[in-house]
Amino acid sequence: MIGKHLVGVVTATAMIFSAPILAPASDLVTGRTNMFGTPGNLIDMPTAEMAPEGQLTTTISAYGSGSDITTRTTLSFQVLPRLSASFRYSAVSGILSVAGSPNFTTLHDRSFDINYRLFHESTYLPALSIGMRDFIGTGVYGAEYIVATKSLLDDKLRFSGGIGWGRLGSYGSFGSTGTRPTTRLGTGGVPTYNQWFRGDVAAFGGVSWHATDKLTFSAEYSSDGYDREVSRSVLDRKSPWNFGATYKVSEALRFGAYSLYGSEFGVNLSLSLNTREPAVKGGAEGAPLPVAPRPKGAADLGWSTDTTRTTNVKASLSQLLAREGIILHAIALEPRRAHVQIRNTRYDMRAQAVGRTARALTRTLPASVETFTITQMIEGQPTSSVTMSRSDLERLENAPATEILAASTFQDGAETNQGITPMDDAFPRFEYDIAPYLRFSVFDPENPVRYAAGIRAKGEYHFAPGWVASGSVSQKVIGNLDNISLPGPSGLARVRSNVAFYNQSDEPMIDYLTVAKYGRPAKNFYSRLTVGYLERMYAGASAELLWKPVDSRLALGAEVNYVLPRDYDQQFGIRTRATNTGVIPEWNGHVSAYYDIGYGFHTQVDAGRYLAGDWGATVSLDRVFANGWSIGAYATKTDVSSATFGEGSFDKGIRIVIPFSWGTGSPTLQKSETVLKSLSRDGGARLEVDGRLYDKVKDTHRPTMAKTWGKFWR
Amino acid sequence: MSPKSTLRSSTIGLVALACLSLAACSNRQNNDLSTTDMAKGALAAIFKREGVKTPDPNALAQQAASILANTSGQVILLAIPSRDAVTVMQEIERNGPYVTFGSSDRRSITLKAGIVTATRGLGNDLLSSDVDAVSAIIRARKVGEAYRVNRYLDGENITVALDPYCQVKPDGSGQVALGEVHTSTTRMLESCIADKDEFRDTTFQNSYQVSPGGRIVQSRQWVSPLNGYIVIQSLR
Repeated sequence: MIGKHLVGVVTATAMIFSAPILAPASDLVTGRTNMFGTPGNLIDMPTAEMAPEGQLTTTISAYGSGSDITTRTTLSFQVLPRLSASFRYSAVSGILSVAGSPNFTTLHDRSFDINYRLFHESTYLPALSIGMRDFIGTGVYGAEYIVATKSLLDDKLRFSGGIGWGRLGSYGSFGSTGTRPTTRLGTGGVPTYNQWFRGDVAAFGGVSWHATDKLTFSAEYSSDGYDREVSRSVLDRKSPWNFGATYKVSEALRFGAYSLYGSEFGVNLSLSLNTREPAVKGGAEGAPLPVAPRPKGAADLGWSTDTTRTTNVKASLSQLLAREGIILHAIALEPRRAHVQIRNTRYDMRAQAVGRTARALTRTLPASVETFTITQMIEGQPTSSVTMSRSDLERLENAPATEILAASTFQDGAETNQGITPMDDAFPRFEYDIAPYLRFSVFDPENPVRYAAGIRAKGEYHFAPGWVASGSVSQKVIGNLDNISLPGPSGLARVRSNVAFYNQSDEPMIDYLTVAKYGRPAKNFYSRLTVGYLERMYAGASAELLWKPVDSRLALGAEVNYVLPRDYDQQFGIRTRATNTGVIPEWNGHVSAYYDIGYGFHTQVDAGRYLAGDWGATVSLDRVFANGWSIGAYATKTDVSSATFGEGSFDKGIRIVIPFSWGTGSPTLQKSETVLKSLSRDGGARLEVDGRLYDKVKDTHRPTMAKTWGKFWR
Repeated sequence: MSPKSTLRSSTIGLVALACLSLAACSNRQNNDLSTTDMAKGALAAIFKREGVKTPDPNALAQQAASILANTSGQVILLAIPSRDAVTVMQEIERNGPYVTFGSSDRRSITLKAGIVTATRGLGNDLLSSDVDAVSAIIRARKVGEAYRVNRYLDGENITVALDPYCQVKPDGSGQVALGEVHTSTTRMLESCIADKDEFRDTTFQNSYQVSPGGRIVQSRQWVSPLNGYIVIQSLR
């Protein structure tokens, strides 16, 4: 029996080692994803293949027929060339619910996968990967594996063979490593480490043939017995062999069709993007004006006392900068030096804002001005000042950008803030926008997609340096976000779990209405005080202090909040702190540490008291790309037991930041921030106040600006 | 409800409708990019559709004539065959040996003795280059070998250098007569090959028409993976 099952694997393995034509090592990269939505050219079985670094692929796959259709929606991200991570939302037909739960025919389940390549392929040896499927949570797809992949015939053929545990050890097992426990840990949502690499072991394997540029065929021997599906008669497993064909429409769109287990038909569709492949590399924005070099021997010192000339200089500079989407906020002109404070409204790569400002200065200032200082203003406060000499700008315009970086000095904006006068139009100023909004709730086990859509008006009134009054009003037009049923009592005050009540109003809602004061209490220190209706569910006051030297990769912060729960209609009313499961505490707050690790990673740790009065910490790790993309995960553990917390055991999620400039090819400060998380619960919940300092300040400081300094001359 | 308040509410309704149909409205600077633009970008990526701009030769000739009549600086005709784009550019700035040419639609190109050292506003722009070694051989119309360096921004906006090894040799003679340029020329070929990671197997072959005085008057030069070759013709 086992011998028969192993035929495929043995054949594949034999071919790997006896093949007459050994191809030179391939990087074994693929844009294709399998039925589980993870990178690979096989069907149900994993391989040692990886997607290109930065690839983000959404795969929707389905198999079965009639009421027995199983679908899997998977988001896979290639974190590093060797590391792939996936998040999956499945509707699994035929899986029985756990004892005591209500009966259902389809299980909605979330799962996480990870695949790490231990060795790259070499001329004679295959690439080797180790991975886990569904390693956090309920473990419906729980499996671990070690797999090798080797390319042959100039990468036309790729053979994979490996051994698996869990589901991948459930058919034709040839041995076992201990026993695999079936009890789950906590209330789900915690790593199932008691099961990893335990229990029956079986072999699997397959081959993919890259027939043409667009078409790939594959065949595999599956070691997944589909035991639970078979026992519920939703899948007839007639054979361990699967066959498939995939078609690439473009690098972004692929289709696949599969024959599964001799009885089922499966399809998948994948949409890919790559965080490192923007619409236009380097951007498609218009050319800057070049540096205007001074004629030799120019020294014109009389001008600085001539008010007509200084007024003209300011006007033409202001005009030139406005053309570039940069607003001249303040200026100090001296015979030999100039200091400008700018408000950058366009460039997400801040070096570009500074570079274009520097060139505008060369084109407008009298020849005697030799030193330029350019300070970026954020919320009316100076953050970083870059000082460079005009001669260096003239000399290095056509040199590598690293040279002008080396010739520039960064300073804290608080140190250069003396003796500079804001332009007449700097304060007060009012900004508004009106736009439709869409709010989503996805991957909820009960209801895959919920939404609310409507129209929203926002305004900001900057009435004095650092002072901002801002508000946002929205009117829901359509939506079903309010259909979320309340989770059961959690033993904590209901600080977030009653969010559905806040989605029920059909009247205009005040999203926030605040007055904030941003400040620079000292060098390296930034402050914020926000008072008013802080967010949809809470009003109150929030005070924050951040320490962030201009050239430091480390920042430290502290925040204290006083909160009052808002009425469900989100107008001006405040409701009682008492909820049926507890009283919402008045005070919460955190101390935070932020660190740019390097190698494209960023981490943040927040420790303190959360909304429900629980104490604990949030740890987050993000893969940050220099172009502004960021994909990461966070987890919050507080002194609430997992039983009290409820389903998921503790709060965790995935967050994705997409810079619009990546998609449009034009510089813009606009970005989209998405958090994929479990249902709103009460443990580990934080206040969502706008304007937190680190995110406002970080991009204007040297470590971030230096990464994309090439944009200085762009 | 009074007529006045009816009017007001319907006006608000209209404004709201206009905002909806335009995706967003705002007095903020540079807030004009929306998710619609993102979707368009994504769709273009999926279906690889590209806008093609075919110039009208008569209009171009008129533009060239008018620029030549109105400026004293250098003027070039620039063609990007991969985009079917042709434009006339005039000298807008000179920084030592580097001459920058610009067009009215905010594209620019910088030449050092006729060799492209930078482009702006073309997409996948050449940030800067080191071309002195190849330039000396080309303008002397000799046979030789040298490295050159072209710098670009990668997909993350990080600077990457392409430093190919180039072989230069003469390849016959010719005649160039266009605009105010009339000269006999030597055709020079520059064949380059790069072997570094990002640009593995990138090869290109530039050609130059060099006057007896060592001036490049016409050329076809490779500028970037996105744009490929551009053709530059001196009109003065």
